[in-house]
Amino acid sequence: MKSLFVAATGMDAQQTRIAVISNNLANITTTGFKAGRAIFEDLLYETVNEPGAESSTGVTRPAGLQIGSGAKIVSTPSIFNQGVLEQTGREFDVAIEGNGFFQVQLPNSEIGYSRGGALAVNADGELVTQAGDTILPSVSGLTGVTNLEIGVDGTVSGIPQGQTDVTQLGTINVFIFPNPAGLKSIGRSTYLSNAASGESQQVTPGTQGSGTLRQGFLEGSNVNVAEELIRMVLAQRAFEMNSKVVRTSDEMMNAMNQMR
Amino acid sequence: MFTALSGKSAIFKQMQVIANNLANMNTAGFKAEKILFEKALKQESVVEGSLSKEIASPNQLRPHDFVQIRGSIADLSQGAIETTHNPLDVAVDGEGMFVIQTPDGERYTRSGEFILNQEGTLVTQQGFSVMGQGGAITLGGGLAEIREDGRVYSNGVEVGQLRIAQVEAKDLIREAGQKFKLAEGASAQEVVNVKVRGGAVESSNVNAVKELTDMIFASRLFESMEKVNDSNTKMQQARNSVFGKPSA
Repeated sequence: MKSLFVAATGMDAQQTRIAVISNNLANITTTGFKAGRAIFEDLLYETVNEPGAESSTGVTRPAGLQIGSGAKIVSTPSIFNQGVLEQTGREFDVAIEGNGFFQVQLPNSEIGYSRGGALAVNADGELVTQAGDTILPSVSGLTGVTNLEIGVDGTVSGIPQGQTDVTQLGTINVFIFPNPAGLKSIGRSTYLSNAASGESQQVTPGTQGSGTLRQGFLEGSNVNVAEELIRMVLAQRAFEMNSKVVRTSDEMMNAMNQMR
Repeated sequence: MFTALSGKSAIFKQMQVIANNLANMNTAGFKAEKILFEKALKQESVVEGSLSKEIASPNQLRPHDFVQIRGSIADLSQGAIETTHNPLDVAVDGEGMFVIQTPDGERYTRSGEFILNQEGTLVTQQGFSVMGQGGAITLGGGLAEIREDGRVYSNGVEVGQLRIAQVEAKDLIREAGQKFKLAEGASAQEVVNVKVRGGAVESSNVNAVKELTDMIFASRLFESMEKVNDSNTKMQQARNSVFGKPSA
Protein backbone atom coordinates (compact mmCIF):
# COMPACT_ATOMS: atom_id res chain seq x y z
CA MET A 1 0.00 0.00 0.00
CA LYS A 2 2.09 2.85 -1.32
CA SER A 3 -0.77 5.28 -0.56
CA LEU A 4 0.27 5.10 3.11
CA PHE A 5 3.65 6.65 2.34
CA VAL A 6 2.17 9.14 -0.12
CA ALA A 7 -0.21 10.37 2.59
CA ALA A 8 2.68 10.52 5.07
CA THR A 9 4.55 13.00 2.82
CA GLY A 10 1.40 15.14 2.75
CA MET A 11 1.11 15.09 6.55
CA ASP A 12 4.77 15.97 6.91
CA ALA A 13 4.47 18.94 4.52
CA GLN A 14 1.33 20.24 6.28
CA GLN A 15 3.15 20.02 9.60
CA THR A 16 5.96 22.21 8.25
CA ARG A 17 3.32 24.64 6.95
CA ILE A 18 1.80 24.86 10.44
CA ALA A 19 5.28 25.62 11.82
CA VAL A 20 5.55 28.55 9.36
CA ILE A 21 2.08 29.77 10.35
CA SER A 22 2.88 29.57 14.08
CA ASN A 23 6.06 31.59 13.53
CA ASN A 24 3.98 34.22 11.71
CA LEU A 25 1.46 34.34 14.56
CA ALA A 26 4.23 34.56 17.16
CA ASN A 27 5.49 37.67 15.34
CA ILE A 28 2.28 39.65 14.98
CA THR A 29 3.76 42.47 17.04
CA THR A 30 7.37 42.28 15.82
CA THR A 31 8.42 45.55 14.16
CA GLY A 32 9.39 45.05 10.50
CA PHE A 33 8.53 41.34 10.56
CA LYS A 34 7.49 39.84 7.24
CA ALA A 35 5.17 36.83 7.13
CA GLY A 36 6.52 33.60 5.69
CA ARG A 37 4.77 31.27 3.31
CA ALA A 38 5.35 27.57 2.65
CA ILE A 39 5.86 26.55 -0.98
CA PHE A 40 4.88 22.99 -1.86
CA GLU A 41 6.19 20.80 -4.66
CA ASP A 42 5.07 17.40 -5.95
CA LEU A 43 7.44 14.41 -5.84
CA LEU A 44 8.47 11.84 -8.44
CA TYR A 45 5.97 10.00 -10.60
CA GLU A 46 5.95 6.34 -11.43
CA THR A 47 4.95 6.00 -15.08
CA VAL A 48 3.06 2.71 -15.36
CA ASN A 49 2.07 3.33 -18.99
CA GLU A 50 3.27 6.12 -21.27
CA PRO A 51 0.53 7.95 -23.12
CA GLY A 52 0.47 6.92 -26.76
CA ALA A 53 2.32 3.68 -25.99
CA GLU A 54 1.09 0.40 -27.45
CA SER A 55 -0.53 -2.05 -25.07
CA SER A 56 0.19 -5.79 -25.18
CA THR A 57 -2.87 -6.29 -27.38
CA GLY A 58 -1.53 -3.82 -29.95
CA VAL A 59 -3.97 -1.03 -29.08
CA THR A 60 -2.57 2.49 -28.71
CA ARG A 61 -3.41 3.82 -25.27
CA PRO A 62 -5.21 7.16 -25.34
CA ALA A 63 -3.85 8.12 -21.92
CA GLY A 64 -0.91 7.02 -19.83
CA LEU A 65 -1.06 5.94 -16.23
CA GLN A 66 1.07 7.84 -13.80
CA ILE A 67 1.13 7.45 -10.06
CA GLY A 68 2.62 10.15 -7.88
CA SER A 69 4.47 9.83 -4.61
CA GLY A 70 3.33 12.85 -2.63
CA ALA A 71 4.43 16.37 -1.78
CA LYS A 72 7.20 18.23 0.04
CA ILE A 73 7.96 21.81 1.04
CA VAL A 74 10.70 23.37 -1.10
CA SER A 75 11.00 26.83 0.35
CA THR A 76 9.50 29.24 2.87
CA PRO A 77 10.01 32.74 1.45
CA SER A 78 8.81 35.89 3.19
CA ILE A 79 6.05 38.00 1.71
CA PHE A 80 7.15 41.63 1.48
CA ASN A 81 3.89 43.53 1.35
CA GLN A 82 3.63 46.65 3.48
CA GLY A 83 3.11 46.33 7.21
CA VAL A 84 0.90 48.81 9.04
CA LEU A 85 2.64 52.14 9.84
CA GLU A 86 2.37 52.95 13.51
CA GLN A 87 2.97 56.50 14.68
CA THR A 88 5.46 56.68 17.55
CA GLY A 89 6.54 60.33 17.37
CA ARG A 90 10.10 59.28 18.22
CA GLU A 91 12.54 61.19 15.99
CA PHE A 92 14.79 58.16 15.40
CA ASP A 93 11.94 55.93 14.26
CA VAL A 94 11.86 55.61 10.49
CA ALA A 95 9.52 53.44 8.45
CA ILE A 96 9.86 52.65 4.75
CA GLU A 97 6.56 53.20 2.99
CA GLY A 98 6.84 51.08 -0.15
CA ASN A 99 9.62 48.87 -1.51
CA GLY A 100 13.14 48.69 -0.20
CA PHE A 101 15.39 47.88 2.74
CA PHE A 102 17.94 49.62 4.93
CA GLN A 103 21.43 48.20 4.42
CA VAL A 104 23.21 47.31 7.67
CA GLN A 105 26.69 46.21 8.68
CA LEU A 106 26.33 42.98 10.64
CA PRO A 107 28.76 42.14 13.50
CA ASN A 108 30.23 39.22 11.48
CA SER A 109 31.22 41.78 8.76
CA GLU A 110 28.43 40.58 6.45
CA ILE A 111 26.01 43.02 4.86
CA GLY A 112 22.39 42.62 5.89
CA TYR A 113 19.09 44.18 4.85
CA SER A 114 16.29 45.16 7.19
CA ARG A 115 13.08 47.14 7.31
CA GLY A 116 13.20 47.54 11.07
CA GLY A 117 13.48 51.32 11.50
CA ALA A 118 13.72 51.79 15.28
CA LEU A 119 17.09 53.54 14.94
CA ALA A 120 19.47 54.98 17.52
CA VAL A 121 22.88 56.68 17.74
CA ASN A 122 25.86 54.65 18.96
CA ALA A 123 28.91 55.84 20.93
CA ASP A 124 30.68 56.88 17.70
CA GLY A 125 27.77 59.13 16.72
CA GLU A 126 26.68 56.75 13.93
CA LEU A 127 23.11 55.84 13.03
CA VAL A 128 22.49 52.22 14.06
CA THR A 129 19.57 49.84 14.21
CA GLN A 130 18.06 48.66 17.48
CA ALA A 131 20.39 45.66 17.35
CA GLY A 132 23.40 47.98 17.08
CA ASP A 133 24.15 47.33 13.41
CA THR A 134 25.45 50.41 11.57
CA ILE A 135 23.26 51.75 8.78
CA LEU A 136 25.13 51.82 5.44
CA PRO A 137 26.14 54.13 3.87
CA SER A 138 26.96 55.39 7.30
CA VAL A 139 25.43 58.58 8.69
CA SER A 140 27.75 59.87 11.42
CA GLY A 141 28.40 62.89 13.65
CA LEU A 142 25.03 62.57 15.32
CA THR A 143 26.18 62.79 18.95
CA GLY A 144 24.29 65.56 20.69
CA VAL A 145 22.38 66.61 17.55
CA THR A 146 19.07 68.29 18.24
CA ASN A 147 16.02 68.91 15.99
CA LEU A 148 16.86 65.79 14.00
CA GLU A 149 14.87 65.55 10.78
CA ILE A 150 14.76 62.70 8.35
CA GLY A 151 13.14 63.65 5.06
CA VAL A 152 11.01 61.42 2.87
CA ASP A 153 14.01 61.21 0.47
CA GLY A 154 16.32 60.07 3.29
CA THR A 155 18.05 63.38 3.96
CA VAL A 156 19.18 63.56 7.60
CA SER A 157 19.52 67.05 9.02
CA GLY A 158 19.68 68.63 12.47
CA ILE A 159 21.47 71.12 14.67
CA PRO A 160 24.89 69.74 15.72
CA GLN A 161 26.05 70.17 19.30
CA GLY A 162 27.19 73.70 20.05
CA GLN A 163 25.75 75.20 16.86
CA THR A 164 22.56 77.05 16.08
CA ASP A 165 21.93 76.36 12.36
CA VAL A 166 20.32 73.31 10.79
CA THR A 167 22.95 71.35 8.84
CA GLN A 168 22.58 68.36 6.49
CA LEU A 169 24.33 65.47 8.20
CA GLY A 170 23.92 62.64 5.71
CA THR A 171 21.51 60.58 3.68
CA ILE A 172 19.78 57.29 4.35
CA ASN A 173 19.45 55.26 1.16
CA VAL A 174 17.22 52.29 0.53
CA PHE A 175 18.15 49.14 -1.36
CA ILE A 176 15.76 47.37 -3.72
CA PHE A 177 15.81 43.81 -5.03
CA PRO A 178 14.34 42.18 -8.14
CA ASN A 179 13.14 39.25 -6.02
CA PRO A 180 12.87 40.12 -2.30
CA ALA A 181 11.17 36.73 -1.73
CA GLY A 182 14.56 35.13 -2.41
CA LEU A 183 16.23 36.90 0.55
CA LYS A 184 17.54 34.68 3.32
CA SER A 185 16.02 35.46 6.71
CA ILE A 186 18.51 35.40 9.59
CA GLY A 187 16.10 36.52 12.31
CA ARG A 188 15.85 39.99 13.96
CA SER A 189 13.85 41.04 10.85
CA THR A 190 17.17 41.01 8.97
CA TYR A 191 17.91 39.35 5.65
CA LEU A 192 20.94 38.41 3.57
CA SER A 193 21.03 38.85 -0.20
CA ASN A 194 21.87 35.89 -2.42
CA ALA A 195 21.55 34.67 -6.00
CA ALA A 196 17.81 34.03 -5.68
CA SER A 197 17.03 37.56 -4.49
CA GLY A 198 19.18 39.20 -7.18
CA GLU A 199 21.58 42.09 -6.75
CA SER A 200 20.58 44.98 -4.55
CA GLN A 201 20.41 48.45 -6.04
CA GLN A 202 21.11 51.52 -3.93
CA VAL A 203 18.57 54.25 -4.57
CA THR A 204 17.35 57.50 -3.08
CA PRO A 205 14.07 56.81 -1.26
CA GLY A 206 11.13 57.55 -3.55
CA THR A 207 13.00 56.96 -6.82
CA GLN A 208 12.97 53.98 -9.19
CA GLY A 209 9.92 52.43 -7.59
CA SER A 210 11.33 52.43 -4.09
CA GLY A 211 9.42 53.57 -1.04
CA THR A 212 9.76 56.85 0.86
CA LEU A 213 10.81 57.29 4.48
CA ARG A 214 8.45 58.31 7.27
CA GLN A 215 10.04 59.79 10.35
CA GLY A 216 8.21 59.18 13.61
CA PHE A 217 6.64 55.97 12.37
CA LEU A 218 7.47 52.28 12.68
CA GLU A 219 6.37 49.56 10.31
CA GLY A 220 4.44 46.92 12.18
CA SER A 221 4.44 43.23 11.31
CA ASN A 222 2.63 42.45 8.03
CA VAL A 223 1.10 39.28 9.47
CA ASN A 224 -2.63 39.23 8.79
CA VAL A 225 -3.98 37.40 11.82
CA ALA A 226 -7.32 36.45 10.27
CA GLU A 227 -5.61 35.11 7.14
CA GLU A 228 -3.09 33.12 9.18
CA LEU A 229 -5.82 31.59 11.34
CA ILE A 230 -7.71 30.54 8.21
CA ARG A 231 -4.50 29.07 6.80
CA MET A 232 -4.00 27.18 10.05
CA VAL A 233 -7.51 25.70 9.87
CA LEU A 234 -6.92 24.74 6.22
CA ALA A 235 -3.57 23.15 7.05
CA GLN A 236 -5.13 21.23 9.91
CA ARG A 237 -7.94 19.94 7.70
CA ALA A 238 -5.49 19.02 4.95
CA PHE A 239 -3.47 17.14 7.56
CA GLU A 240 -6.62 15.29 8.65
CA MET A 241 -7.50 14.39 5.06
CA ASN A 242 -4.04 12.91 4.57
CA SER A 243 -4.36 10.99 7.81
CA LYS A 244 -7.72 9.71 6.58
CA VAL A 245 -5.92 8.23 3.59
CA VAL A 246 -3.60 6.46 6.04
CA ARG A 247 -6.61 5.13 7.98
CA THR A 248 -8.45 3.95 4.86
CA SER A 249 -5.33 2.25 3.50
CA ASP A 250 -4.89 0.55 6.84
CA GLU A 251 -8.50 -0.68 6.81
CA MET A 252 -7.98 -2.13 3.35
CA MET A 253 -4.86 -3.95 4.49
CA ASN A 254 -6.75 -5.22 7.49
CA ALA A 255 -9.56 -6.51 5.24
CA MET A 256 -6.96 -8.20 3.07
CA ASN A 257 -5.45 -9.95 6.07
CA GLN A 258 -8.90 -11.33 6.95
CA MET A 259 -9.15 -12.86 3.47
CA ARG A 260 -9.57 -16.61 3.47
CA MET B 1 -12.70 -14.72 -7.83
CA PHE B 2 -10.15 -13.35 -10.24
CA THR B 3 -12.41 -10.50 -11.39
CA ALA B 4 -12.47 -9.36 -7.77
CA LEU B 5 -8.70 -9.51 -7.74
CA SER B 6 -8.31 -7.30 -10.83
CA GLY B 7 -10.74 -4.82 -9.30
CA LYS B 8 -8.69 -4.66 -6.14
CA SER B 9 -5.46 -3.77 -7.90
CA ALA B 10 -7.38 -0.99 -9.69
CA ILE B 11 -8.55 0.28 -6.30
CA PHE B 12 -5.00 0.26 -4.89
CA LYS B 13 -3.88 2.36 -7.84
CA GLN B 14 -6.81 4.72 -7.36
CA MET B 15 -6.01 5.06 -3.64
CA GLN B 16 -2.48 6.09 -4.51
CA VAL B 17 -3.68 8.67 -7.02
CA ILE B 18 -6.11 10.07 -4.39
CA ALA B 19 -3.32 10.13 -1.78
CA ASN B 20 -1.06 12.04 -4.17
CA ASN B 21 -3.83 14.52 -5.04
CA LEU B 22 -4.59 15.15 -1.36
CA ALA B 23 -0.90 15.45 -0.48
CA ASN B 24 -0.68 18.17 -3.15
CA MET B 25 -3.73 20.21 -2.07
CA ASN B 26 -1.44 23.18 -1.38
CA THR B 27 1.10 22.72 -4.17
CA ALA B 28 0.91 25.79 -6.41
CA GLY B 29 0.23 24.96 -10.05
CA PHE B 30 -0.54 21.33 -9.20
CA LYS B 31 -3.14 19.70 -11.45
CA ALA B 32 -5.21 16.87 -9.99
CA GLU B 33 -4.81 13.47 -11.65
CA LYS B 34 -8.02 11.82 -12.82
CA ILE B 35 -8.29 8.08 -13.36
CA LEU B 36 -10.00 6.76 -16.46
CA PHE B 37 -11.91 3.56 -15.78
CA GLU B 38 -13.27 0.93 -18.10
CA LYS B 39 -15.18 -2.22 -17.47
CA ALA B 40 -12.79 -5.10 -17.83
CA LEU B 41 -15.00 -7.15 -20.13
CA LYS B 42 -16.89 -4.47 -21.99
CA GLN B 43 -14.08 -2.41 -23.41
CA GLU B 44 -16.26 0.33 -24.87
CA SER B 45 -17.05 2.47 -21.85
CA VAL B 46 -14.53 4.92 -20.50
CA VAL B 47 -15.59 7.03 -17.61
CA GLU B 48 -13.65 10.06 -16.48
CA GLY B 49 -13.02 10.78 -12.90
CA SER B 50 -14.64 8.61 -10.35
CA LEU B 51 -15.60 5.06 -9.59
CA SER B 52 -18.91 6.21 -8.22
CA LYS B 53 -20.02 7.37 -11.68
CA GLU B 54 -19.31 3.94 -13.15
CA ILE B 55 -21.13 1.93 -10.53
CA ALA B 56 -24.20 3.43 -8.92
CA SER B 57 -23.88 1.56 -5.67
CA PRO B 58 -21.57 -1.14 -4.34
CA ASN B 59 -24.66 -3.26 -3.63
CA GLN B 60 -25.46 -3.49 -7.33
CA LEU B 61 -22.11 -5.04 -8.13
CA ARG B 62 -21.99 -8.07 -10.30
CA PRO B 63 -18.67 -9.87 -10.70
CA HIS B 64 -18.28 -8.92 -14.38
CA ASP B 65 -18.79 -5.26 -13.51
CA PHE B 66 -15.37 -4.97 -11.97
CA VAL B 67 -13.48 -2.18 -13.45
CA GLN B 68 -10.00 -1.75 -14.75
CA ILE B 69 -7.97 1.37 -14.98
CA ARG B 70 -7.45 2.49 -18.53
CA GLY B 71 -5.12 5.30 -17.65
CA SER B 72 -4.91 8.59 -15.85
CA ILE B 73 -4.97 12.13 -17.09
CA ALA B 74 -4.26 15.57 -15.62
CA ASP B 75 -7.27 17.75 -14.91
CA LEU B 76 -6.13 21.03 -16.46
CA SER B 77 -8.95 23.18 -15.07
CA GLN B 78 -7.98 26.55 -13.59
CA GLY B 79 -6.95 26.67 -9.93
CA ALA B 80 -7.79 29.68 -7.76
CA ILE B 81 -5.40 32.61 -8.21
CA GLU B 82 -3.92 33.69 -4.89
CA THR B 83 -2.16 37.05 -4.47
CA THR B 84 1.30 36.75 -2.90
CA HIS B 85 2.77 40.23 -3.57
CA ASN B 86 6.03 38.63 -4.70
CA PRO B 87 6.99 40.38 -7.96
CA LEU B 88 8.32 37.19 -9.56
CA ASP B 89 5.27 35.06 -8.76
CA VAL B 90 3.06 34.71 -11.80
CA ALA B 91 -0.09 32.76 -12.60
CA VAL B 92 -1.44 31.87 -16.05
CA ASP B 93 -4.96 33.22 -16.39
CA GLY B 94 -6.79 30.84 -18.73
CA GLU B 95 -5.29 28.09 -20.85
CA GLY B 96 -1.66 27.34 -21.53
CA MET B 97 1.50 26.64 -19.57
CA PHE B 98 4.84 28.29 -18.93
CA VAL B 99 7.66 26.83 -21.01
CA ILE B 100 10.79 25.94 -19.03
CA GLN B 101 14.14 24.61 -20.17
CA THR B 102 15.57 21.56 -18.41
CA PRO B 103 18.73 19.60 -19.31
CA ASP B 104 16.35 17.00 -20.82
CA GLY B 105 14.57 19.50 -23.06
CA GLU B 106 11.56 21.78 -22.79
CA ARG B 107 9.00 21.17 -20.09
CA TYR B 108 5.65 22.79 -19.27
CA THR B 109 4.33 23.99 -15.94
CA ARG B 110 1.54 26.03 -14.36
CA SER B 111 3.60 26.63 -11.25
CA GLY B 112 4.84 30.23 -11.44
CA GLU B 113 6.75 30.64 -8.17
CA PHE B 114 9.84 31.90 -9.96
CA ILE B 115 13.13 33.10 -8.48
CA LEU B 116 16.47 34.28 -9.88
CA ASN B 117 19.63 32.24 -10.25
CA GLN B 118 23.28 33.34 -9.87
CA GLU B 119 23.25 35.04 -13.30
CA GLY B 120 19.99 36.90 -12.60
CA THR B 121 18.03 34.60 -14.93
CA LEU B 122 14.39 33.89 -14.16
CA VAL B 123 14.19 30.26 -13.01
CA THR B 124 11.73 27.87 -11.36
CA GLN B 125 12.07 26.68 -7.77
CA GLN B 126 14.11 23.76 -9.17
CA GLY B 127 16.43 26.15 -11.03
CA PHE B 128 15.22 25.58 -14.61
CA SER B 129 15.19 28.64 -16.89
CA VAL B 130 11.80 30.12 -17.66
CA MET B 131 11.56 30.67 -21.41
CA GLY B 132 10.59 33.98 -22.93
CA GLN B 133 9.72 34.67 -26.59
CA GLY B 134 13.44 35.21 -27.20
CA GLY B 135 14.93 32.61 -24.87
CA ALA B 136 15.74 32.81 -21.18
CA ILE B 137 14.91 36.06 -19.36
CA THR B 138 17.66 37.83 -17.41
CA LEU B 139 16.89 40.61 -14.96
CA GLY B 140 19.23 43.28 -13.66
CA GLY B 141 19.12 44.91 -10.23
CA GLY B 142 16.19 47.05 -9.13
CA LEU B 143 12.49 46.30 -9.02
CA ALA B 144 10.97 43.56 -11.15
CA GLU B 145 7.46 43.49 -12.55
CA ILE B 146 5.51 41.01 -14.65
CA ARG B 147 2.62 42.59 -16.52
CA GLU B 148 -0.66 41.09 -17.69
CA ASP B 149 0.61 40.43 -21.24
CA GLY B 150 3.55 38.44 -19.83
CA ARG B 151 6.12 41.18 -20.41
CA VAL B 152 8.84 41.18 -17.76
CA TYR B 153 10.25 44.51 -16.66
CA SER B 154 13.44 45.01 -14.71
CA ASN B 155 13.91 48.49 -13.28
CA GLY B 156 11.33 49.79 -15.76
CA VAL B 157 13.01 48.26 -18.82
CA GLU B 158 11.41 45.37 -20.73
CA VAL B 159 13.68 42.32 -20.62
CA GLY B 160 11.45 39.70 -22.21
CA GLN B 161 7.95 38.29 -22.61
CA LEU B 162 6.93 34.97 -21.08
CA ARG B 163 6.23 32.12 -23.49
CA ILE B 164 2.94 30.34 -22.89
CA ALA B 165 2.18 27.13 -24.77
CA GLN B 166 -1.07 25.29 -25.08
CA VAL B 167 -0.87 21.54 -24.60
CA GLU B 168 -3.45 18.78 -24.46
CA ALA B 169 -3.93 16.88 -21.21
CA LYS B 170 -3.65 13.52 -22.94
CA ASP B 171 -0.16 14.37 -24.26
CA LEU B 172 1.27 15.23 -20.87
CA ILE B 173 3.62 13.08 -18.83
CA ARG B 174 4.10 14.22 -15.25
CA GLU B 175 7.47 14.90 -13.69
CA ALA B 176 8.34 15.94 -10.13
CA GLY B 177 8.09 19.67 -9.44
CA GLN B 178 4.69 20.23 -11.11
CA LYS B 179 6.20 20.01 -14.58
CA PHE B 180 5.08 18.06 -17.58
CA LYS B 181 6.87 16.55 -20.54
CA LEU B 182 5.18 16.05 -23.90
CA ALA B 183 4.45 12.50 -25.04
CA GLU B 184 6.33 11.37 -28.12
CA GLY B 185 4.87 12.76 -31.32
CA ALA B 186 2.78 15.40 -29.53
CA SER B 187 3.34 19.11 -30.00
CA ALA B 188 2.55 22.29 -28.10
CA GLN B 189 0.87 25.34 -29.59
CA GLU B 190 2.27 28.78 -28.77
CA VAL B 191 -0.30 31.13 -27.26
CA VAL B 192 -0.13 34.54 -28.98
CA ASN B 193 -2.30 36.58 -26.61
CA VAL B 194 -0.57 35.80 -23.36
CA LYS B 195 -2.61 36.55 -20.24
CA VAL B 196 -0.93 36.23 -16.86
CA ARG B 197 -1.24 37.70 -13.36
CA GLY B 198 1.93 38.98 -11.73
CA GLY B 199 2.36 38.91 -7.95
CA ALA B 200 0.06 35.92 -7.70
CA VAL B 201 0.21 32.14 -7.89
CA GLU B 202 -2.29 29.58 -9.07
CA SER B 203 -3.40 27.29 -6.26
CA SER B 204 -3.71 23.55 -6.66
CA ASN B 205 -6.98 22.54 -8.37
CA VAL B 206 -7.47 19.45 -6.19
CA ASN B 207 -11.10 19.16 -5.08
CA ALA B 208 -10.83 17.70 -1.58
CA VAL B 209 -14.53 16.78 -1.40
CA LYS B 210 -14.33 14.76 -4.62
CA GLU B 211 -11.14 13.02 -3.51
CA LEU B 212 -12.57 12.09 -0.11
CA THR B 213 -15.84 10.83 -1.64
CA ASP B 214 -13.86 8.74 -4.11
CA MET B 215 -11.77 7.37 -1.28
CA ILE B 216 -14.80 6.38 0.79
CA PHE B 217 -16.35 4.78 -2.27
CA ALA B 218 -13.13 2.93 -3.08
CA SER B 219 -12.89 1.54 0.44
CA ARG B 220 -16.54 0.39 0.43
CA LEU B 221 -16.07 -1.21 -2.97
CA PHE B 222 -13.01 -2.95 -1.61
CA GLU B 223 -15.06 -4.39 1.27
CA SER B 224 -17.69 -5.64 -1.19
CA MET B 225 -14.97 -7.37 -3.16
CA GLU B 226 -13.76 -9.05 0.01
CA LYS B 227 -17.31 -10.34 0.50
CA VAL B 228 -17.37 -11.73 -3.04
CA ASN B 229 -14.10 -13.51 -2.26
CA ASP B 230 -15.52 -14.78 0.98
CA SER B 231 -18.67 -16.20 -0.61
CA ASN B 232 -16.58 -17.74 -3.40
CA THR B 233 -14.54 -19.53 -0.76
CA LYS B 234 -17.69 -20.69 1.04
CA MET B 235 -19.21 -21.99 -2.19
CA GLN B 236 -16.05 -23.92 -2.95
CA GLN B 237 -16.02 -25.36 0.55
CA ALA B 238 -19.68 -26.42 0.19
CA ARG B 239 -18.97 -28.02 -3.19
CA ASN B 240 -15.95 -29.82 -1.80
CA SER B 241 -17.97 -31.24 1.09
CA VAL B 242 -20.65 -32.58 -1.29
CA PHE B 243 -18.54 -33.79 -4.22
CA GLY B 244 -15.13 -34.10 -2.62
CA LYS B 245 -12.09 -32.05 -3.62
CA PRO B 246 -11.44 -31.71 -7.35
CA SER B 247 -8.62 -34.10 -8.26
CA ALA B 248 -6.54 -31.53 -10.17
